Amino acid sequence: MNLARAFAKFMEDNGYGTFGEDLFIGGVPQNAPNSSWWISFGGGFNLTKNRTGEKQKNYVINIYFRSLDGELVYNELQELEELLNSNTCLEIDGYTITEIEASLFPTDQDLDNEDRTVGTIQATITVYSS
Amino acid sequence: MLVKGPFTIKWGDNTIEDIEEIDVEHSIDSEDFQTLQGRTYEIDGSYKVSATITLLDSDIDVLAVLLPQHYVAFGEQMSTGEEVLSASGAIDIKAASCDEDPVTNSLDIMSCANPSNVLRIVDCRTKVEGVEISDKVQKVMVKFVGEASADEATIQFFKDGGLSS
Repeated sequence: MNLARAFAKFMEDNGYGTFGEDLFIGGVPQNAPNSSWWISFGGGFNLTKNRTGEKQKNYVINIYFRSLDGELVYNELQELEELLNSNTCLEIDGYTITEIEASLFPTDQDLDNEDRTVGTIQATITVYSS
Repeated sequence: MLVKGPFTIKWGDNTIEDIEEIDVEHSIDSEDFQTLQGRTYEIDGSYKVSATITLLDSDIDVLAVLLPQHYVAFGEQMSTGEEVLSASGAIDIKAASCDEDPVTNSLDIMSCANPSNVLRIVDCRTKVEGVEISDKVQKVMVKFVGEASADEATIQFFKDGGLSS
């Protein structure tokens, strides 16, 4: 499972959307609900390399949420940011994670063509790869 | 397997939160002996372990738990003569008298796995190592000094729940 899909499952498990219904990867289909999430890869880089070859890699995931209810966008994104930056143990299925953090805080991307507020945050996920 | 945080830090039954930093030191005294044949042997002596934590949450309630030997309760007298009027009590840091027994508990540093991996420093007493005042927040450094008995380990690693009580 690629990391974007695994992260979508993490979001789903924590109550942020249902994959294929209002949570998507790469973009939002035409018939998606007004209130929808989508995530996309935002790049990354190798952080460290062990003498024995294992690496810590930083993946950047962009997370978007849109809704006709602008306050809901602000609330949901701040709540997700607080989860990602909390002091609890966060795990992503199939990956050994040494750190997850919201590296870009909620940002208002303005209205889309159908007057929905679009907001985004960015998560940086440090994956230990052996 | 990686042992990962966020870590839970416990001194006895007390969970310590808002720790900015923790620094564990372990040293073993050793001495070199040289033979007439030109070889050097390193002979180990006594073990010493300590951990210093930097506390961001350093109000009276927190310090009362970590420094019980310096806690002065409501209605009691400070070493400088004043009576404590606050319900929270006060902290009065003065040198211990020779007949005082230090309060000791094991310090457990627990990882976030389930079951967590535990690093235990056996039987620590506490003391204030320093205070840092920045323009934003007061930080108190508390040092946990391991004082295990001669026949006990200074430091242990195990799975939470993996030892008999």
